Amino acid sequence: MTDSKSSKVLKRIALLGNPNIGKTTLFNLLCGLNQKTGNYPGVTIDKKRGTLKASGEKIEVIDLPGINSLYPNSKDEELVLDYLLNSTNDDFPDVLVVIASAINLKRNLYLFDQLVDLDIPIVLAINMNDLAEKRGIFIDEKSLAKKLQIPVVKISARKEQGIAELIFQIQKIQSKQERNFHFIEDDNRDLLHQFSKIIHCKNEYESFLRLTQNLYEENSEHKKLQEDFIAINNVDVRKWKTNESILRYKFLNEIIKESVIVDKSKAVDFTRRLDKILLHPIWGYFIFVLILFSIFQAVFWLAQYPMDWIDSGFTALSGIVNDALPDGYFTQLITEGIIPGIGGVIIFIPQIAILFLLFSILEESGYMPRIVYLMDRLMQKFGMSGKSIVPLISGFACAIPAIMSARTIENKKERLITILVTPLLTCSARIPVYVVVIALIVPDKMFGIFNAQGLALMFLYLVGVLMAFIAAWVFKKILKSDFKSYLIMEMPEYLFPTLKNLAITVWTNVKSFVWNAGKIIIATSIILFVLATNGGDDFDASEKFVQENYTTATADEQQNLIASRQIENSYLGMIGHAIEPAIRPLGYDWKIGIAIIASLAAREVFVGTISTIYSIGTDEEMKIVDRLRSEKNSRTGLPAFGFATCVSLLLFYAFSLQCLSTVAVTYKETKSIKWTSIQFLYMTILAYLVAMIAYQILK
Amino acid sequence: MKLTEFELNKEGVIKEILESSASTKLVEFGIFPGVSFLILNKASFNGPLFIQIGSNRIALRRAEAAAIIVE
Repeated sequence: MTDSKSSKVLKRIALLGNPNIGKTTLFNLLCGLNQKTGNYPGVTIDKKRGTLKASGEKIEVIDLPGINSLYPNSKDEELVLDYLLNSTNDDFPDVLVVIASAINLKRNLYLFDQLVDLDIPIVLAINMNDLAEKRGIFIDEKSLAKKLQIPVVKISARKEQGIAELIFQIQKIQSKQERNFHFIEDDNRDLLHQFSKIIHCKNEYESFLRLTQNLYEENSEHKKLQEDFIAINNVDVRKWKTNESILRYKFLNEIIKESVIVDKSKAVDFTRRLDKILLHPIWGYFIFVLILFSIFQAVFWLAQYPMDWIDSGFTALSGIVNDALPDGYFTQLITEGIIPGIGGVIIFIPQIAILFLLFSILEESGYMPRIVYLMDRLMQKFGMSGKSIVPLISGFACAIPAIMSARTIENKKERLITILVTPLLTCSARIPVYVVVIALIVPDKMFGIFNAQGLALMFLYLVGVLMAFIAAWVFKKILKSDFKSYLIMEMPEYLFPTLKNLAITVWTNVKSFVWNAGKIIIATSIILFVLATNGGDDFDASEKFVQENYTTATADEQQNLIASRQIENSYLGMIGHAIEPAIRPLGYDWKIGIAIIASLAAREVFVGTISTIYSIGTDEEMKIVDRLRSEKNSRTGLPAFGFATCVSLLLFYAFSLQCLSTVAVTYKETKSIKWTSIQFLYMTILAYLVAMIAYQILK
Repeated sequence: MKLTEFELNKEGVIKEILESSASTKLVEFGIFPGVSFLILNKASFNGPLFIQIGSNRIALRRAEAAAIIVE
């Protein structure tokens, strides 16, 4: 603990609290865009980090996941406890900022009260006072601060009030006052102290946690000390835990009684009224389906216009650059390799931004936990928990954060199944592939009030959902579980989402999409271009071959023949032809094969790749879809993207796990090569088989 | 009687929490003997329950609710 006389420089604070009480809003407010988010492969985002600039000082802010208590039941809670109990770590906080909601003060102070016993300097921020007052709850923070002997600040993260005072208190605090603890019955104090001595722990509450929880590794020396101590002294761990909770609530009741005034005569309970509709036994489900349906329709048609502009813009850009730069290999690399490649990613920013925006509205408004509640029973039938719905729904945006959000699921089997099936849901990286391929086979017509292409996209989303549930059901039958599953969770207030939070979520996600995909795409388009414009002897002899064998052809025709002969005999052509036998049953030619290989690491690369492959050797600037439509299969002479091929391609992309980042995050979350491989293999085999069957039936 | 059998929108008091794997968790959420509650919602198809304790709203499955004795 810090000596109160020596002034220590404040370097790091950690934000902590129960879920859904505005912690992220406060974090966004303190740090703005100065935050680090997960850049996908292999990067940890166990904790979000940001920087707060206050009176000339830079303070690191760590946003910990929302937890219920210091008794870990889920991976999330384990990580937080592990972080708090390792005071020697480099990123251990100097000050804890605990956030509580004014509406639910007693329950939120329970976690706070546990944290106080860890002897880390602490500031309490009480959020959502405006909402509480509407419900007739009034808090006297001065009386609270006096009783708790800890700085208490009333804030409104949404209205940006009280933040300066909070920062002032954070910077002022130097140490925490000792207090008599009340988490254990008097009879057991000596016993606990004995255990503290055995494990050399200075903090009594830390040794209480270590004694009553499974924090030590199996078969470790400490684990044995803990087990022996429990056995010799006949410690009833469950009773100790239950008594801790009751004693803490007793203490908090006394404090709340004098610092919180409840006047229900002024109360308007908006949340309860809304729940009557949104959780209605029949209408609740109907509304849920309607909301999801509207989101997908919105993604499709809202994004249409900006996408058209971007597409035309990039086509024009290629032309301008082509005219401006001198003819040559380098110019060709830019106009036929890099620009179409990048354009293939940029064009999907509108759809991805809209998707992330709508999902963060679901999350922010407090509706997400209601979906958990409504869907819990159904999810259990498929070996998952209601909480799996959060990863599954965010899987529609991106599987990486989705798989990480499975950490809140307490039961290990339910969590594993959720992780395994999440990548089957249509993530935003599949949108580019779907949109382009759908445009080739579905006319852009209205079908009643719906756009036909939008309906086709909807259908693919449904196929993904259906397959995820089938896979989950199969895993449920195969996997054994020793852990009992339960669901106890708080339902937050409904809130109007704040623009700032939405903007930050959309910005950080779009940025990492463009940045991560962009890096891979530039690299692959350069490699593809080089491979496609170089080759062996046949490649070099193309010009001579055409001039000798097609003497009657016009100069233009000769030019085209040379180009197609060159690409066939380039290194890229050789690789493509080598793999063609494997993909022919799926209805793909060698060019599609190249695109699939190039997009093994990230599926969105597909569109950039095909547009690069097909623009090499042509001088015309065309939109991607038009170019693909005019393409012929060099072996059969039929259109390369016929109906059967397109359906097969859509299904292949629906089920295959072409995302290196997902593989990395599954490994990180499961710590198991076995499950990571199983996920990759079952999806790849499924994709291949389904695509092949579809093609063979439809061709 | 068990919490699962209790009527919707009627106030009651918790009498006892039966031992189960989730009982320590229930107590942590402030669900213990002597506390009064209100059932706000019961999800269809034997889904979870939704109760209010003070100003706190908590969702729990019927299996957990069956271990809560109320009156």
